[in-house]
Parts: sequence; structure tokens; C-alpha cells
Amino acid sequence: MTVKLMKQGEGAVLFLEGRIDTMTAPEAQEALLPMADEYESLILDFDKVSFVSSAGLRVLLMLQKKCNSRGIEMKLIHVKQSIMEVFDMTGFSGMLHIE
Amino acid sequence: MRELTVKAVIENIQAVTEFVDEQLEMLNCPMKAQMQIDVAIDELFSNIAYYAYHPEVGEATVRVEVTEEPLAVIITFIDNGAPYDPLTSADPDISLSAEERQIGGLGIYMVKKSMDEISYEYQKGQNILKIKKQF
Repeated sequence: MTVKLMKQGEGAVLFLEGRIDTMTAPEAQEALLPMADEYESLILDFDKVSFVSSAGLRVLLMLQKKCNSRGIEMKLIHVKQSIMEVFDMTGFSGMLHIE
Repeated sequence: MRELTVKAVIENIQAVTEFVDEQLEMLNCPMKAQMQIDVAIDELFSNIAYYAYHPEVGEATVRVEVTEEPLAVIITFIDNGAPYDPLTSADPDISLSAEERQIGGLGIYMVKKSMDEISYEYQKGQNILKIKKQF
């Protein structure tokens, strides 16, 4: 998976691409978690994310916890229906801010 | 019935997923069901790779069977590692907020929720975990 960053004022838009699964979750974690320290808001663009497994959910939960502890906003946009179903099944759709 | 035996290492998740997907595609499996099955493979095979033989490395077999009327696939994961029944883990509370949530326990919960049947048995030194998904 890849993460592309676009700065937007004090915040960042992160364009994620590919699968977030057991294999790629460590690199996703490494790429994403520091962003919660560096920016004042995060928008995760999921348009090109094709697959999220439980390992990917764990990374999103860690990132959300980190954003919450710093009091910054984190938002997911362009989430595909198939991935939305994963979020619905696990209650993540109620826990994350998804537009 | 087809089966694939590979070293139970995390890098082989891709080979296992491709092996199963290839057969799902031949059956014209709907994308949603295929995605759910791929999520299950990610969870179940990674469990075996991380824990079954730790710190040694062993083998895992993935078997795909098809039943008709209704059309369904049965995927069986077999390893010779330490006995482990993932179905005994408690379901996470999915109504909790991010702060209250524990990291973990979601994977097997998703498998339980998205498959039509799931069973575990330990027989002759083997962990045998079976999932069934109807199309």
C-alpha cells in the first residue's frame, strides 16, 4: 500500500492506495501514526483502498485514539461500499468520522 | 476439492488468497462474498503463521471444497501446531468508542459474522478450522 500526503493549511490529506491487511498494516502504521503528531487535522482519502482486514482496522483504531488524545479531527472520505460493510460489521462506522 | 500446502509464514498469505480467489472466480462468486472470504483468510492464516508453531516454522494446508444447492464453498485451514480454538475468544463490544476499545479481537469476530458456518476441531494433533460461505 502507499500513502501520499497533501498539506492543507495546518492539516493533511492522506491518499491511501491498495490493501490494508496483515502484510501491509505495519507499514501503514509506520506511515500514518506520526501524522497525528505533525498535523492539526487528518483526512484519509479511501478512494483507492481496495481492501481492509482486521489488521487494517487496528491501525485505524490506533490512529483514531491518537487523534482523540491530541484533540484533533480525523475524517475518512470516499470509502467504498465493500469497505463500508467492514466498518458497519465492526461498529467502526459509528466510531470513526466517515463522510 | 483442491488444496494447497505452504510454509506457515506470513508472506504466504498472498499465495493462499490467490489460490482461493482463483477458485471463487471460477464459481462466479459475488465480489462481496469474495471480500469477506479474503478478510477471513487474512485473519485465519495470519493466526497460524504467527502462533501455531512459534518460534518454529511449520506447514499449513488450505483446502477448498464446493457444495451445490445452495452453492457454497467450504474452506478448511489445517496446521499441526499448538492446539488453539479461536472460537472461544469473547466477542468485542462493537458499540464502544475509540478510547474504550481494545486493539484486537476484531478479526475472528468478523469471520464469525460474515461466514455462514464456522467450526473448529483438534484431531490427531491437528487444528482444523472450517468456514462455509454460501453465495
